[in-house]
Amino acid sequence: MKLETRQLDKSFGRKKAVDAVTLTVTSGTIHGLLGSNGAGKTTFMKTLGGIYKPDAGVVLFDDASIFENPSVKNDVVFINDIPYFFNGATLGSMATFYKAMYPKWSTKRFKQLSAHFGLEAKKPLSQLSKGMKRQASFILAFSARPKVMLLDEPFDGLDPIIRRQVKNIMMQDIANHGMTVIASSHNLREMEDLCDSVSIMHQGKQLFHRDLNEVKGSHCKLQIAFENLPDDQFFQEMGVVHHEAKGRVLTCIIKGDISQIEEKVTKYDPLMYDILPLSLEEIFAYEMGDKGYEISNIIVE
Amino acid sequence: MKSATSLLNRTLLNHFMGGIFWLTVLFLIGNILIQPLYLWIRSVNSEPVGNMTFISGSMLNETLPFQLAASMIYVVLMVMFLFSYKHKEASLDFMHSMPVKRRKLLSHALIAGVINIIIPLVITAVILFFERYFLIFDITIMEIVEWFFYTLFVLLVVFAISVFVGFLVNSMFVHMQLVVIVFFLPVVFWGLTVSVADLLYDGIAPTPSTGGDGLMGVVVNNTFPIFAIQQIIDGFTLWKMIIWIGIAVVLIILSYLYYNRSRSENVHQTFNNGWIRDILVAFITISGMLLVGLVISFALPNLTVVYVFAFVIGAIFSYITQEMFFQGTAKINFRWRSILISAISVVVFWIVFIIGWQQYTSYVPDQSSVESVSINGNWSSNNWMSNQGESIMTEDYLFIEDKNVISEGVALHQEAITNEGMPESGVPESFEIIYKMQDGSYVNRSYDNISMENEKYQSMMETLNSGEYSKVYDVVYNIEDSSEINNLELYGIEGYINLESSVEIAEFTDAYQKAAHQVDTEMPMLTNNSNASAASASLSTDGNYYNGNVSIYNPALINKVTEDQNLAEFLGIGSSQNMHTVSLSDDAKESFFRDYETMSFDELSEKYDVESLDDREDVINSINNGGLDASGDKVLLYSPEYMGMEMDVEEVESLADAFIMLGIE
Repeated sequence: MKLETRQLDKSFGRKKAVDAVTLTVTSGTIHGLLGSNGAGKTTFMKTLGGIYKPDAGVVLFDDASIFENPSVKNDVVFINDIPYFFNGATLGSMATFYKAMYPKWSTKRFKQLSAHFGLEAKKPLSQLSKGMKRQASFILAFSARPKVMLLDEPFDGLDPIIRRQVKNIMMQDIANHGMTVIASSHNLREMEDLCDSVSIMHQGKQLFHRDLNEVKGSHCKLQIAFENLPDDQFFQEMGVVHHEAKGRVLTCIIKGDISQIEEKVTKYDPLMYDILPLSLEEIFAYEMGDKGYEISNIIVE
Repeated sequence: MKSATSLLNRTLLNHFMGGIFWLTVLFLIGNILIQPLYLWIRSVNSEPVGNMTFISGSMLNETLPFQLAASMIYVVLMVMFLFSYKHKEASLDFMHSMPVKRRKLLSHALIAGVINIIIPLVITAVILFFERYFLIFDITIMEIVEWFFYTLFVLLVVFAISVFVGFLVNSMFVHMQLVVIVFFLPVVFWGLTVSVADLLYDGIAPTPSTGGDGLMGVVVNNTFPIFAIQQIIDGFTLWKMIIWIGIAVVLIILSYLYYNRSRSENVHQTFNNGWIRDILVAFITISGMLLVGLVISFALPNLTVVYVFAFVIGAIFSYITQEMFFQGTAKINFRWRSILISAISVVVFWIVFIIGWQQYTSYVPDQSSVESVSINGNWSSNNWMSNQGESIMTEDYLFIEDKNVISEGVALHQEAITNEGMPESGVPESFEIIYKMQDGSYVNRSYDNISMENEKYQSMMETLNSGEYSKVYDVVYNIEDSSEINNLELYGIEGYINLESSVEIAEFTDAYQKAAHQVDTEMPMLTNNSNASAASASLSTDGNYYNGNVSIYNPALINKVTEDQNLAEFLGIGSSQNMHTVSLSDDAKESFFRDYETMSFDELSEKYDVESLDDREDVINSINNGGLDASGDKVLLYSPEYMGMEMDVEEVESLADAFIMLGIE
């Protein structure tokens, strides 16, 4: 299911929590929504989930609006940062509720997942730890077999093993059923391993939106040492978008056709050089640095 | 599990019903205790629990007011819990993230609520159906059906109001407050406005003694909980019930509209609409200002500066208090917009209040448009009535059509308006004037600033003190249809007679009315003011209650009293500490009756031939044999126990304060 937002606005009183965000997420991919606390991620996610009505713009799932549209919501599951369960509910009673709500609910899958994570269906959810509640919410969400999962801070409270298991199940659903996932987080490194594309929000605005594979294919980091530092022609020819010099060692971010870099570098007779892939944090830093944003002001991790 | 039509999601319905299950169990238990169990106890004991004699008709009605009051509280609580998911961000987001439209959520919650109202009532009705075979009194199936549908009507209206109100707020606590405010703020606000107006202005008659709704009627009668319980006492008014059903339907439709337009993100705001909040705050501030101001004014001296101080303190006090309730914390935040709106509302209120009540109290109707007038004072203090049903009294009861009386009434009314404040000298008297206008409407005013010595007041007294007008104030004389009366009570100073049989009531009424003509020509003062408190009567029908004067000189009354008790005891003569007789010449009679009102015992003794009665036996025997004579030359002065025990007769300023006067043979 393809997700698309166009010039999406959402305000709380005079404060614009989401400001003209346009985003397209292709079916069967994972999109990471990054931003610090108060950036507008949760508001954006709730608007995507049809909980909030947009003030302006649209949220479309396969070209259909989600707000007050059960036929779209049948295929969309939203998991909040703090999972919600009814008072006194057990995993079993919540499953009964989900089953009545989501037409594609799979009881077989629910039983498999419950057994896999070792959660008892009759145990009150209020007695579970934060991490186990999170697991319960994933079991319910996966059993509903949605086409789109909206996850707000999805891995908070999960230990690394469970985190990996959840990711694996998610990947299987993406691979086998073309599920689309939009996950919000303030953890850049976690998103880097998981996402096909990322966008970064700051003060309600979308600062950055890139397909990570595309970015990694067009950017790299070059660390190079010279007897004498080169002139501007070097930077122009190499396609350097950002560089730092420490003594005779240069660290450059290069954008463009990176297949010919090694050939170009050797022409300048360096003492030594190394070509490295860029981390998500570096990509963001070099992309946004020119726009006046410091990564440390936006992402906290 | 979805039903075949997919209109009803059973799981969603079960979810809502499960949330209020135990509350409904309590409701059912309460219903069984208040109705079937009470009826069983009543059947065994045969005596009503508490004073429930004011309710007639079905036995089910005896506890229906309590049942309805408790049921209304249940419905409000049920609605609060049913829609509690709306007040928390996590639950609201969860429910709104589900693939269900809001209108479907609302429909399921409403159906759950209605089912939880109906099922306990049906179970109670079934128990009543079987129980009736074992009770010593009859309860018909129709009475059970009527009880069921009336209770259902009341609870569904409360349900609809509570549901709609819930969509205006995002807090359970404030939801509860708002339900109470919606039900009772109008009546409290208007009641306080009238009370403060009554305190500040002379001329306001909140409850006219000739019955009718008075100033409070419009608001009280339209306050639903009061209306619902009042109907049990006064009988059902179908058109009003239809209007309330219409209102309930409209509120449910509005609830759907409001919910569809509501924003989940507003969950952190107490009110969904800031203007509604500000208006409510302003109304509550004004009500609190009036209440606190009223209380402070009673305790402090009667000065303008004190009133201003009291009302300012009241406004500040109530504003802060209600903000604490609305914000759910004692650490409140002030908002300039709210403060400003409240302040402006207070100023506008006082402008409207002052102009409105000044016009109200200074209005005197045009004499030509008055059909009849009722003038009441201390001489008719026994008169009061509650007439919600069709009147059984003549049109002349308490009203006089004579043009001269109307003219004097208007003149006295005008005098009261032009009099500023209390009279400088003389004893201030309160009097009430009620005009029945030719268009069928009523104008009621009451004043406390006329002295007894006032010329126009004296003139009015002289006019009213005639046998002709004494009958106007006679409650038994003015009964038009005695067949509707189900209870008639006659009160003496120390006696009481109860007539319950319809035949007995009809015979007594007929005899009393025929004999009343004999009293017409007798000495008016003895049949009016002076003996107003000597005897009175009260009578009730379904929906109506009347209390008023009767003439102790009426032979039918004397006969009725002497049938099973002696007249002297009925009039409290037997317990009298002081008894005196006064012999009067025809010339002295008129001045005596006036002096009786104003002179002390010593002054009266000097002027008239007052004899202490040492040998009471003869007089008491004579009275017990019916020896009362309003036209004779001899007057008995006596102090019944309630008047004379604590009082030194020789020290009282007015003889009327210590003695009852009777014309004897």
